[in-house]
Amino acid sequence: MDMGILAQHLFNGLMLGMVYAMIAVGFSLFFGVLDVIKFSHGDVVSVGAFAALGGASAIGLLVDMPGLSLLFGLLAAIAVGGLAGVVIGGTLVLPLRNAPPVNVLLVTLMAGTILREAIRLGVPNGGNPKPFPVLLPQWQITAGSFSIGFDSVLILIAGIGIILATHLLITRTRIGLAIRAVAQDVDVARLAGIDFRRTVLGTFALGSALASVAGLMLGLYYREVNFSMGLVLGVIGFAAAVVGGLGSLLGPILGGFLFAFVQTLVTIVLPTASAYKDVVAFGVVIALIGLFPTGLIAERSSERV
Amino acid sequence: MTALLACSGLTKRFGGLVALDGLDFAVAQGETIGLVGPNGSGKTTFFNVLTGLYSPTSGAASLDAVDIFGKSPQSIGRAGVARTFQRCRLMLDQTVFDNIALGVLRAKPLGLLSTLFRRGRLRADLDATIARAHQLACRFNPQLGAALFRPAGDLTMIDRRRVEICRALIANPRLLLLDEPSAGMTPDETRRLMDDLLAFREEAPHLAVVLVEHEMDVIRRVSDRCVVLNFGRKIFEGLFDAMIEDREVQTAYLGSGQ
Repeated sequence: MDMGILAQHLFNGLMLGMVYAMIAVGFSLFFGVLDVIKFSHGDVVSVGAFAALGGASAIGLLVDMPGLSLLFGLLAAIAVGGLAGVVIGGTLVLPLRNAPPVNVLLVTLMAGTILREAIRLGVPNGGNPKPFPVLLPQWQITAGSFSIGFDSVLILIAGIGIILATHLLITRTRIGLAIRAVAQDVDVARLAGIDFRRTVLGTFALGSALASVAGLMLGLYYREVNFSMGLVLGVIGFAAAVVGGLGSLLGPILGGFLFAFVQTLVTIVLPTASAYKDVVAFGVVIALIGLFPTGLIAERSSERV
Repeated sequence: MTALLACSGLTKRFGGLVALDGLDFAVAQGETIGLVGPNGSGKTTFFNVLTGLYSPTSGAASLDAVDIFGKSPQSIGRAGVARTFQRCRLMLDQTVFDNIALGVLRAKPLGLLSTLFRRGRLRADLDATIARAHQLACRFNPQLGAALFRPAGDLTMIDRRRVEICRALIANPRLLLLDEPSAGMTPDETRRLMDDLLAFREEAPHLAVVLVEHEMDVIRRVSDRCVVLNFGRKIFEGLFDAMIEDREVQTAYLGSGQ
């Protein structure tokens, strides 16, 4: 195969892996602090993409400054995504804290449907794919037969920066210590003066804002957003988090890149069967879950005496 | 002697089960009380009610005249109560330092803005916390001080206990509740942990300690006074020697022999 096309595929795989990782981290954070799976998480990606589209388009109507549009799109994605996380966490997940986990699963699954349908019905012509405005410089970087948009490189760098920043926030700050403490042992955390509710809602805001920004990045990368784009992304993010290790931070990042790597590998090795890349990737997920039931990076839980 | 902790008529019901039945309990500043009783007699329930993890059914509790009855764990911790758990409850994946630093997390604001923009202040705070944690850990075990940035899960059982006690002590509590520190440890480890505790006691003479323990040697060695619970009620209060002679205490522990 041509090296340029190979590099193109690998770059695309990196981009997808980063988006999956950003979504999977949220699943792991929510599971960490509350031991719940929030199935509306994928649809928060769509919400973020459409919030960014709205914010950027609104500025675009006023002035023709792509940078300013991008900034407002980003702020809109963070604000709306974070708010969605807080509202879902505060009104649906926390009140069901002592209910069977299946209830939370079902309730958030339905909340996801509401978000999805709200976009489809609330946005003018929302049932059809929407073009996403071009907000980044359109320079091409060419090396032999390999050609890549400068905008794609920027998106990839930004995404890796965001994942690193999240990692530092969780592992190196007092906020992160509060989140880790609540994730490990709520009683100990509360005795240490940590407000359980605020920490949980903050975690939901953080995870949801990450997914939301992932939605913006997908819009910038593919130049198109779709009300149902979050559906499969949510399943992939969940699978990546489980394979990597729910509750850990590095696990879901690893899982996200692994999933994208398998997809890319199928595309490269079996170009004619590339339509089956999701099938193969999910097959690998099933096999890995069988081999590593607690995930690739297992959480070290307190021993039971 | 005025009481630091004063509880009266403290009661906790779980449905029909009375786990704590009108308990009167007082601890003076600098005093160590050995809290004894058969399994299920309400010792840990007492700690859980006192620290706000369980909400009490009725009664009263105050720490140095500050009402702590039915308050949240956060505000009770702020008032100066710290505790350890029977089953060591540490974040095993996290470093020893993070586990200890959790004890002083309440001292500073957690806001995102201060995290982002007050790096200098935070850096100084962090250095001070590291120095304090290191000093505490070294007092118990110099090797523990050297392992400050290793995962807590790598430690031996006795060092994990020490980390838990450091986490409680770093906040400079006025009342320390120790829930069966000898659980899961060898007699030798227990003895060494008690050495640590007695040494620390001398440096912090105002700290009041309530110690739940089954090991009578431990109780004899460290406690000034003993309280015995049975079925959530106090059946004895007094000196160790009187306690082991007490007929009701013997019956509670060994059965009536009928």
